[in-house]
Amino acid sequence: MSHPIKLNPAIRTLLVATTALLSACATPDHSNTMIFGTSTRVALDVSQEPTGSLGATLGYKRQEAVWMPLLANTKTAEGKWNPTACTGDKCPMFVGTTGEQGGAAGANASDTYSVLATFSGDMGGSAQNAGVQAKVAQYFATGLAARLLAQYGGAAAVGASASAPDSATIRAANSVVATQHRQADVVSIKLSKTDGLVDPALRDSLLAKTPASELSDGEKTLIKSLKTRDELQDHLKNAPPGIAARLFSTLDKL
Amino acid sequence: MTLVMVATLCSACTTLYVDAPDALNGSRTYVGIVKVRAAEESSQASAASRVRRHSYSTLGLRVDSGLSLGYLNDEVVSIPLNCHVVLFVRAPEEWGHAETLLRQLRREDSCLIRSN
Repeated sequence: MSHPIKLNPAIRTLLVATTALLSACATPDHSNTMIFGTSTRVALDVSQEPTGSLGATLGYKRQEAVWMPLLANTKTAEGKWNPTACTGDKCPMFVGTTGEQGGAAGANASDTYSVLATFSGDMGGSAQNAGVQAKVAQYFATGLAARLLAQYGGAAAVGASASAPDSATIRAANSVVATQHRQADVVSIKLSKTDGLVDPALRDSLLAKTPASELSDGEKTLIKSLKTRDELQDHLKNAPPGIAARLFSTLDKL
Repeated sequence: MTLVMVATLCSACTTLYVDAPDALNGSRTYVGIVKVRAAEESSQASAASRVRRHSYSTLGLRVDSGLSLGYLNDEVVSIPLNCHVVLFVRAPEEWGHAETLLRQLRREDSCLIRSN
């Protein structure tokens, strides 16, 4: 089955190289699985290039490639993978979309199957605006994840030689964390009854008022699912920056 | 290069045949020191348990689609559907940080993998 997809020559070469690298002489079966391969050589290497010609390398060579499923496959009764049937102009393909509300890539944006994978090199666990900052040694991304990384400087995430934060940065981060914890304590106590359970009416009233009402629907649903004071307290302490602060600021309006 | 020659001369020949369900099939012949790390099969049904990582490291001679003499390392990761954010964690002490990071991302399609 063929598809009218035009590939960048470099990407096409990479895909052909992936086939050669990963499977010797066999054509890979497509099993709805994405495959990422890295080949590192410090050697005298004489082998067939993806173009068919014979190539020789002396020294260091590194290749990385992704074999990504585009057309969805289904399993037959015999256990073999077969492409699903296309009806009309529609084929069941793996596509990542941002939806109507969009995101950083824009509303209704679509791209190929989206995956972000990292091989950790140094996850220092330092706090930055109450979040966790991770430094990774290698990562790869496809589809919308790759677009977002390119747009927002994903290369900054790779920092094997990143310098340690200075004491001022650590103090500032600790202050942010302490503030969030304090706000989480106050909010969870105010919204709970003496038996330790969250007061649903009080919680819903708080979430209906600004600025707490500006929280995303998903976040509100998550908060509403928490039944006890301890659950709410723990959630708000570990939540992304701003959530506990918004609830705390709304308490005056109750 | 001396190390490569010693490794090549002092060891036996082996042929490695990979029979994997996700298109990694193939055979390669090695002369020298070979380190193979095959993915562990897990009975768990979670997406993370179905992430597989294979690697082949060689110091010596490899006969594949060509000839290679020296150090070679091939690493292959296969990622199933519903695993859109994947973190491979090497150091045990980083596991907690990675869990915190994924919890903050609040993604159900994230997979945390131990990687030695």
